[in-house]
Amino acid sequence: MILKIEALNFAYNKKKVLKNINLEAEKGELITLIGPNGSGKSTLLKCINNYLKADQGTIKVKNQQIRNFSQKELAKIIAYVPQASEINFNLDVFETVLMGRKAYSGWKANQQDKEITAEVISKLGLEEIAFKNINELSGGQQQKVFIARAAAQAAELILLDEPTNNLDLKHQLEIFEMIEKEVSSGKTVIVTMHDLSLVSRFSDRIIMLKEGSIYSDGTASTLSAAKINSVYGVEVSLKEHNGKKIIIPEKICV
Amino acid sequence: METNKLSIEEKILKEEKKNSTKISFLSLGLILLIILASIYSLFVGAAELDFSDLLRVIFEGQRGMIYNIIWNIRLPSILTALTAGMGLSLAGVVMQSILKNPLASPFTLGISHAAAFGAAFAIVVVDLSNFPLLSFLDGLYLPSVSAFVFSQLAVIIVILISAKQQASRESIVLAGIALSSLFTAGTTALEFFADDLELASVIYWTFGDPGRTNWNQFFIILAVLLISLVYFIYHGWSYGVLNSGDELAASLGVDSKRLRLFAMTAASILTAVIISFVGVIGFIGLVTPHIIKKIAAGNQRQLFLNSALAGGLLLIIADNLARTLFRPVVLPVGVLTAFLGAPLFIYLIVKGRQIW
Repeated sequence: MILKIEALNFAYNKKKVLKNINLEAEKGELITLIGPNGSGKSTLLKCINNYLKADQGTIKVKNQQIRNFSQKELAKIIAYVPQASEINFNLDVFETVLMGRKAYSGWKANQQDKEITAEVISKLGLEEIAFKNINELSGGQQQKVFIARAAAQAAELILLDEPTNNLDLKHQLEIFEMIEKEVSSGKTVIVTMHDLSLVSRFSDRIIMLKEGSIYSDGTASTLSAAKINSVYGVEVSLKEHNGKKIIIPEKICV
Repeated sequence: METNKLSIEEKILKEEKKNSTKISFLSLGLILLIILASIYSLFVGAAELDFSDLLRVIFEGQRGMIYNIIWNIRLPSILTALTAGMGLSLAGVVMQSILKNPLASPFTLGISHAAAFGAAFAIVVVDLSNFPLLSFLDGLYLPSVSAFVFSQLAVIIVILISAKQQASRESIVLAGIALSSLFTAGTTALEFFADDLELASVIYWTFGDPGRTNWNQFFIILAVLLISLVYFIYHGWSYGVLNSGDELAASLGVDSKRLRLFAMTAASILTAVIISFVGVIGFIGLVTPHIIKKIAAGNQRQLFLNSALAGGLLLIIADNLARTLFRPVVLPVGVLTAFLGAPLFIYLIVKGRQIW
């Protein structure tokens, strides 16, 4: 087991955001967190990443509490791609992906770091843009670069906060292909998403969050109109296509 | 398939090597230009010297006027221009990176003006004759110490404003403008009350000039510059990661709070030391990093190093021009950098933030 969360509680200024979260994740699992805005998805990722410190409960990676790791050690185990990545720099794609190796090296990247970076760029199909300036890329390409940076971290657990936001269909699929490549190489990926049809198309396991608590935790086949109605307050119709569910929002529940 | 993949990786690594070599050449080129500009500067000034004069001083140990000009006037002046330019430019690039603000620099943040006020305050108001214990501060050092203290005050205000969560890029620069106006007004008020001699000293001090330092002051600037340069080059990669935001930096294993604090402290001490000995030299710290970013930014470590080198080169050239344009009158280099820097600054604003 790579991740184990027990009785996690977290509050922002006394407002409870996460309530009694219990969650386990195995090696090579792709878990999708869904839920309405403000349900605690991003906060949960930030707690797992130890960026936000849990008020109560424990988070363990590889059977050790995350707070016992140094920042550097934790960076070798958990990689994270935030919802909106800041780009206050003027680097090419190679140098940006190379940042993922920071925790492994001292003052500068060594040859091994560069080799791993080249390997990740080639594996994730970014060689065409490897020496383009990050600022000249489209939003979709930039997001792929950030996922590549997380992949270069060689962490066993990758957290992605709404990686397909604002992306066109092709880039959404490409991002999921990248994620699948990471999962098939044995990494555990936890991703937050809003597009439920895309979630049901790709995820093995879907966790629904409602008001900071886990409402349901199961395979894509357990996703039902009633659950979505309860969590999102929206009536939906579910259609099946090739065994995958397509979710069509109908109307807001009163 | 396997060989194909391998060749893609090899190609990427080869290209990366090519790029980093290109940027190393930029550093080497800058060093070479600095050496040439420094040697050229030795011969130019109010008094014309030629190569044989220099050789006589070096190899025959000839003392006298030429020895004095070279050893006590020109050499410290050139080396101060080099180190001050490097330091101001390094401080500028660091502040731009830490405050995530392309318009940040010792000059735009009001630090330089605070130093000028500090110096004027020492010249006009402070009278050490009542404090015999502090008499060692008298003379040239007192304005420097006071300039240092006031510039640190400005830095603390900037840090406090930028530490506020809501502080935007604009608000930091606006705060800098407010601080500049405040300290300029203070300096003007002091000038109003100053007698003729004090007024001349204040104005002389306000226009930066590397020619006013002696060897001791040069060595102090050099020491602070070297420590800062080594620190920033050593931690360059971490500072590069910081440009992706604190949250991401943390997930990559970088402690952003400590790094930010160290950087602002180091950059401000470096600035304060330079300004307090040399006077106000504007725009070098603001403009040089942008010039380097246009040529070849490279990674953060290369950006730190090349910005510093280019700053040194620019100030040597500017100092040269200042000494020769209106010969035999020597213009303070601060006036010249303002003349050259202001249009460049406006160009940057008009051009907008295409690249960071």
